[in-house]
Amino acid sequence: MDTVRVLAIPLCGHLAVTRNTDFGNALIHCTLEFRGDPDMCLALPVRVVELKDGDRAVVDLGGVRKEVSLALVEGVAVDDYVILHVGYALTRLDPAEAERTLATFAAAGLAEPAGA
Amino acid sequence: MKYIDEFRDGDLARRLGAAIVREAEPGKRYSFMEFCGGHTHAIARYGVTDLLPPNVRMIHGPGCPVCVLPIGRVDMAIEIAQRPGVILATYGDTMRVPASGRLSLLKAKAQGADVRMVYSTQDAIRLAEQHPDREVVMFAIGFETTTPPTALAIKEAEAKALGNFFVFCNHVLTPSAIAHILESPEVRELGTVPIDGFVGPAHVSTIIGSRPYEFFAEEYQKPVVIAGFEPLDVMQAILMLVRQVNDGRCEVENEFTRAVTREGNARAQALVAEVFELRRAFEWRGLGEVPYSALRIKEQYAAFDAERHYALADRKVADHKACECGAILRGVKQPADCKLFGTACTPENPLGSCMVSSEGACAAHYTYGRFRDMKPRAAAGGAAT
Repeated sequence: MDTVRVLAIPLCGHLAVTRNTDFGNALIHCTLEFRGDPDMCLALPVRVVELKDGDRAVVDLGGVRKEVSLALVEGVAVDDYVILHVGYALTRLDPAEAERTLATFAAAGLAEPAGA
Repeated sequence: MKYIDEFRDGDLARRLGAAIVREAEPGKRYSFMEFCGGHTHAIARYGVTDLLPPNVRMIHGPGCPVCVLPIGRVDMAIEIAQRPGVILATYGDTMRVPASGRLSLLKAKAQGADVRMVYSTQDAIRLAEQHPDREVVMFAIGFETTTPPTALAIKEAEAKALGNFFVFCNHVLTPSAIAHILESPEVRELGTVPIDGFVGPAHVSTIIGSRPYEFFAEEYQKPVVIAGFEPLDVMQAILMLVRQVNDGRCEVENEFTRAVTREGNARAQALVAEVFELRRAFEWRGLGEVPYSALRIKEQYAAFDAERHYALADRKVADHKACECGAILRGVKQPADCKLFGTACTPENPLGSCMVSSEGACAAHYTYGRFRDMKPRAAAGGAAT
């Protein structure tokens, strides 16, 4: 299992996260998504771990906790995954559809073995 | 992490690549535009191009909010920031966008302007609450994903009667930009930008839904496949586009069903409609004036509009003469075609906006693709396009 730790929170308030992998101390540098780049579309699926007052919630980004707003989504429950963008959940992630999409990948890829 | 790692599986990516190779007919050309910078970034970062056959080509679109912001608007933001008593709150990416007079927001900050990077519009509201004696202006940019958060901030400022909170609104609209590209002479007449289909936006579509693209599929006879931002999503979308072209279909298909519905996020749409209205035209870098392509704050919320408050006038500023951002944003040129690319213009010292944002075509190519180009070029000699 990868462990993820926060290395630094830069001025802009974006989370800079580094993964400490099993390969000795090799550090995979903070992924762009975690660097934030908040005006961009590089939003992330995150898990809701706690609901708070006033449309607010605590989410988990691979071990990092952050408080975000749920003002744009309806009916979110703890353990739901939402897509987080500039501090707001844009939409809820549909786990059944995610499974279906993964099955589609597998079906498309398995028609013939890779490299055939 | 869940919903990320499984969509980046290398084996599956190679198998999907093999499926694309198998299904793309050798004599046929497949040119697809990925509108979003998020897709541009994923394609460069995961080397998706390497898994595609030579007749399947990806063209970068203008869907990078920092890239399409014209210099004039950045100049206006700097002018606001330099006013005494003002705090300008901005998303991080806009800080280094080059503006007139060798300035940028970052340099203006170094010269004493109070510019604060924020993660969210909520942070800007908090700044206004903490500094009642100052005027806090949110430099609001972005497509349909960042617009609802701006609308919420304006509503919150109204509810809290924050008289010192303003928004400098630069929000732009995806469908108008796609229509503009499809109407452009490069696509319609000259054929210099052949487009056989679109990879449709991921997160923008969570808000607006898949319905707005149906017009493009019908009216312009272009297939659209909405795709998530992970590499397998992009590859599956390319495969779906290849199949549409092979079958002669022009439909809107949705690969990103785990997050996108046909209707989109109704709550967010209602908020945006309540606070914003269409601008008659708005200047985009690279595309020029695009009719009905941006939003402004409605009269009802005029008290929060920085443009009205400071009586700011639009200004037009030409790009750096040698900078090819404009042509790159229209899909006419590739980053490597620009003389400045990787020499005078780098992510550390960007001259054009496409090198600033990590989803800009130039920054993505500089970070992940620039060494890839060398081999085929050397090997292909003059044969390469």
